[in-house]
Amino acid sequence: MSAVKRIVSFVALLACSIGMLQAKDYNASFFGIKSNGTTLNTTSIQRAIDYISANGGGKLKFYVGRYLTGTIHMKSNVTLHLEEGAVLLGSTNINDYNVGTPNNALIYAKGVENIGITGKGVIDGQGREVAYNLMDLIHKGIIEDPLDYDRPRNNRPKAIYMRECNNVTIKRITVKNSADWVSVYDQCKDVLVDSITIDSKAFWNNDGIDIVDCQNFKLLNSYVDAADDAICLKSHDASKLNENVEIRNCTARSSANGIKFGTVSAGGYKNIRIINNKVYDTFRSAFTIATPDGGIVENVLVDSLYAYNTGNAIYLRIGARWNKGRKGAIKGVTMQNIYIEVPAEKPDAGYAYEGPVEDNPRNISPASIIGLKGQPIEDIILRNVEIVYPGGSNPNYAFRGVSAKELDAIPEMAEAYPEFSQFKELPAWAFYLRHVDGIQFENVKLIAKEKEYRPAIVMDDVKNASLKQVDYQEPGKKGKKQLVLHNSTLKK
Amino acid sequence: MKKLLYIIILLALPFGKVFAVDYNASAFGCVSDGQTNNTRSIQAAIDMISAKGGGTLNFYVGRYLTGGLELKSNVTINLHEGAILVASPGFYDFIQKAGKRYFIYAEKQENIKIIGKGVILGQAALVAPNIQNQVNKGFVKESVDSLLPTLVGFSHCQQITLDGIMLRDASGDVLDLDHCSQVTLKNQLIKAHASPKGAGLRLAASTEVSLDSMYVDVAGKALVKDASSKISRINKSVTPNGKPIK
Amino acid sequence: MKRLLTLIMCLCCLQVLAKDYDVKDFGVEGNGTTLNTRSIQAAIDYVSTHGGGRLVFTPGNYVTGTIYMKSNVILHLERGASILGSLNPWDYDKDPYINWKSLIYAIKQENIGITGQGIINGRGFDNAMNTLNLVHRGLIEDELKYDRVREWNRPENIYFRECKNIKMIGITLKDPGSWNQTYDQCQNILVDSMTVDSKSYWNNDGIDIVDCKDVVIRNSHFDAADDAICFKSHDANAICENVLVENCTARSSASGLKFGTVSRGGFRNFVIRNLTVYDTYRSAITFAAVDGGLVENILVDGVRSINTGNVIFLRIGDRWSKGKRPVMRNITIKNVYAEVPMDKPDKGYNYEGPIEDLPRNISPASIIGLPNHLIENVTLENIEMVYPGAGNPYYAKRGLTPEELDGIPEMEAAYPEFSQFKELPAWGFYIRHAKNINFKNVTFRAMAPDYRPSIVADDLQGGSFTGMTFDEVKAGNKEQIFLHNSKNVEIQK
Repeated sequence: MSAVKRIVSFVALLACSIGMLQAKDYNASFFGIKSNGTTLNTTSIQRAIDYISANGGGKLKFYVGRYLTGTIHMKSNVTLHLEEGAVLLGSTNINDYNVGTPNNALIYAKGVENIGITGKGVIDGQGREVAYNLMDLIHKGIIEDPLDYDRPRNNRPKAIYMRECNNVTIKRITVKNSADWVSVYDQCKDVLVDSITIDSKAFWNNDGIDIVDCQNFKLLNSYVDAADDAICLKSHDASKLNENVEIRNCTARSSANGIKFGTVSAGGYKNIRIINNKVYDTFRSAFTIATPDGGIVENVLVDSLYAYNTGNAIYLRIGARWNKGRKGAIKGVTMQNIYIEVPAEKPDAGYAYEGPVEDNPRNISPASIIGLKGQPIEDIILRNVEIVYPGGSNPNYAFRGVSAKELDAIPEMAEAYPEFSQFKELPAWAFYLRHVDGIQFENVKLIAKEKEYRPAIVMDDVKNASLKQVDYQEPGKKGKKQLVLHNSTLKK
Repeated sequence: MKKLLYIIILLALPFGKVFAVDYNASAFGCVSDGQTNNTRSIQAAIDMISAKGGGTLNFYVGRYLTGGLELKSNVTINLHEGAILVASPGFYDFIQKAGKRYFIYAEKQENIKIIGKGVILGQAALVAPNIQNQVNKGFVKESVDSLLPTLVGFSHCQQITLDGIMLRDASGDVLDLDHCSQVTLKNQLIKAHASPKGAGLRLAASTEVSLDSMYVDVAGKALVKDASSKISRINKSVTPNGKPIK
Repeated sequence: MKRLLTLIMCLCCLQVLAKDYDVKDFGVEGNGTTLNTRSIQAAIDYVSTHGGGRLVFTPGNYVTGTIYMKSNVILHLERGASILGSLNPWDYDKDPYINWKSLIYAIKQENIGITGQGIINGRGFDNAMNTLNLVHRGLIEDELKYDRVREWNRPENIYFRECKNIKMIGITLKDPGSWNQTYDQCQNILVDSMTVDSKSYWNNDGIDIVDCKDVVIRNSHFDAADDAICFKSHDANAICENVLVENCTARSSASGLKFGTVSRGGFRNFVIRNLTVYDTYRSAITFAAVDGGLVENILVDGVRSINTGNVIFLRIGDRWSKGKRPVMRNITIKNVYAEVPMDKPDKGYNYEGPIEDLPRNISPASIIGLPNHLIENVTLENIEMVYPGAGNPYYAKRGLTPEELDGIPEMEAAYPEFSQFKELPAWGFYIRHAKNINFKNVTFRAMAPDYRPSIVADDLQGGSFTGMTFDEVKAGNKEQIFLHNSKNVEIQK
């Protein structure tokens, strides 16, 4: 009997210890974390994460309430679960963050795996207040910062920053009001971001989501409203790249660009699928690829993009800014089933941080695909595309003619920050192509609502272009020559 | 406590007033969130800079909401590309002088510059209903037209330079010069369609005014001047139809 | 007293003012962000110049910087309407005539007021922090005191000066940056049914009445970090007089009802009745004449004082008198029930009263004049004071020998405070330099034995103790009244 008893107790013990090591749910209150919105919980939350990670992992559950905190570090096998009504509230005191380090974020993770942030709750960075308080310490000389445009250049915390993490799941949460980029995934692998909401117009550089040198990244079913670029792929490391990224069923609103590759693009982008997305109210481009830093862009599919009230339709650009001798390339971009509307007025009016009025004077800018001399953008397909422009350009306000001399006078601006407006006035109203090798227009409809002094398409140094079923609509301009070729050839 | 260099300079300034000193708007608590009304912060900055002998107040890219401002001698406003002074549309938020209303105004000052590629934005579409509203309710007796604020007005000032600044969306006249002299206007885009009679430039008893590379797109006349005003030079200045301004 | 009645009649009969205006009609926005300073000012100016009336704030949050009240204008804040002080320090004026910052000024106006169930919220803490930042940046000059911006560079909610016929009815005044509401040299003031929640920052008084005449404060609740109901006299040629305070409650981490500290002219003809004071770190009732002022004809009738650090402190000092002779006489305090706790009574206030003047056992109520300025004719009637007792001589001791009693310093130039003498030799009441002090039917209770007697009188020139009850635990036959250098004092048990 005593043997049986011993076995039973052994089994019980075993079960117990296994249980200890299994993922488990923990309530935040268990760790003394307070939901009153005023108690600073940084150390309590950190203690909870450390404890859960050290005890087999699990979920740290936050129920309805406001949880004030500074920087917290994620650990392996821990998921923060924010129930509906729970708000993880960033402290407005800049000193509660990892100031002065590159890890400056409300939620920070590095080199860990199997982590997540889930639930219908909210992460609110209180970014404007954080930035103002930071600015104050800078003006008093307590924190050093060189300032950019009279704003803190460094030291502003992101809301979420994950680096070199594997197997990350971000689901259903809302992320708001960051002082800097909202959510950054840098050199992470196997990331799923699904059904989240980003609402961040609190301060300068509020990118919505930045995917940097990641592999196997899925961004699905999400809504992003951001003061800076909404959905942004970047490549910071010349030896890395973004590979196998899927962006599907997302909606993006931005006072900058809707979906963007770059600006920093050292390594590059490969096998990127952007499917069934919506973009609106962007001051800059609905879709843009910029590779000014030597990055290689290949095999990109944009399918089913619907964009309206966007300042520019499409902007593909190779530059030579920080490329250090390496040559950037864009090769193999297919854009199909696309509808875009460009308005006459500023599309992002009403954003607190509107896109800046710049590069004036210029009339409405065309979609542009612009490589460099000897470094053409290659193999572009535009299939089933319709773009609606306001037209109404005024040559007395800004003028760029189509004579050889005028076209050649457009600067290359290889080293400049790549932006759809950087050349000021361009000579076409719908598409301006320069330094392109291999471009196919197939069933493309270009509509100007009012008269234009410019032709629809200007090609300069374009080889192997083919136009099938290209339809131009401009009021009162039947028979106008809408296609101007300069140093360019059409494929027969 | 360590303070920023320019604060030290600011305090040391009375000893050397010849130097043009740079000040950032943020040092005075100005914020560019487009929502915070910065009137008193900006005015305090202008007053302080002028009192210390002059200098440049720099605004960087962003929207600075403000009510009416009075410019002072020896103060340069530098609106860097992308910086916008946005007029607060409240009826009572404008400067009121001698029966006229202004967004940006200066009287009996000298050596004033507004430079940079930024914008002074009148928000006419929001201003107009507020005027109509006060008139309809009978709180003000004047006609709506006479209440439309002029975007930028100078009265009895000398040595004025506006270079590069875009003047947009004025409710009434865009730029009004009354008894001013030595005025340089150049590289400016002026665009305002809200008021059918709104003039681009309105000159009264002002002399030595020069215009260079101006593009004036307004509903009323590009340039209105009385007999006693003299324009010393006009160069490359046009209206939207390409006609030179006269 | 008759004058008071006529005054009340007058205030009740103030004619109904001309007309109601909706402040939103002047373009004022109640959205919590729009800065409405100029629009509200324009509205006030308009109403004042068009026959007067009420400027009505419907529910909403109205942000504003400094505005000036004008004659015949009432700001009426409906329930749900809040006037919010701007968070930008530049949005406040420091009026040169007043030389003090305020959100709402009135200077030399009449028939003005603020009424309704709404709130004026100065957002003082944030304002103070923002001002401090500008000081640190060198943009505002301030020498700082205790690492805080001086009180005159922080905005009050209300500053009315030299105004007549003021009505403040129903409103809530919240979170000022400095004092809360000051009425300076005004006449005919009615404060009725007001709620004051003033604990956001340093120097947050509840209400300050300075050199005013014909004042009624009633049915109001004051909760303040600094003194709750405070009468001051800044001007040696002016005086606070004809004042009625009734049916009020006061909570404070300083004093509940106070005359002073600045007391140049004085205080005359006061009736204070049915007052509840609680949670005060300092005195429930304190009258200070330290700057040459007069305190005369004061009736305090009906006070319930719970959890207060000290009950009564009457003090003549000689601080800024400049040769003027301070006088305090003809004071009646009756029908008082008071409980003094062992612990700090203002625990939990953000700005608790500072722990100071230690070591000392629980301080007694005190009447303390100066050798050549006696406090005269004070009657204390129907009073019960409950003390914790437990005065421990090993912690702090002041014995009853002539040397010890005479060794208590006069401190005539010091800031007057119940604790200023540190340990006093009585646990219930300490009297010094006074004339004709009469106790009738007064009960003192100590909940634990105290090494001190209940009452010590030093240099008391005439007076009486009749109907006295002393109830000290385990006191036995301890002598509870001790006289020193006193004469003509009658003691009847």
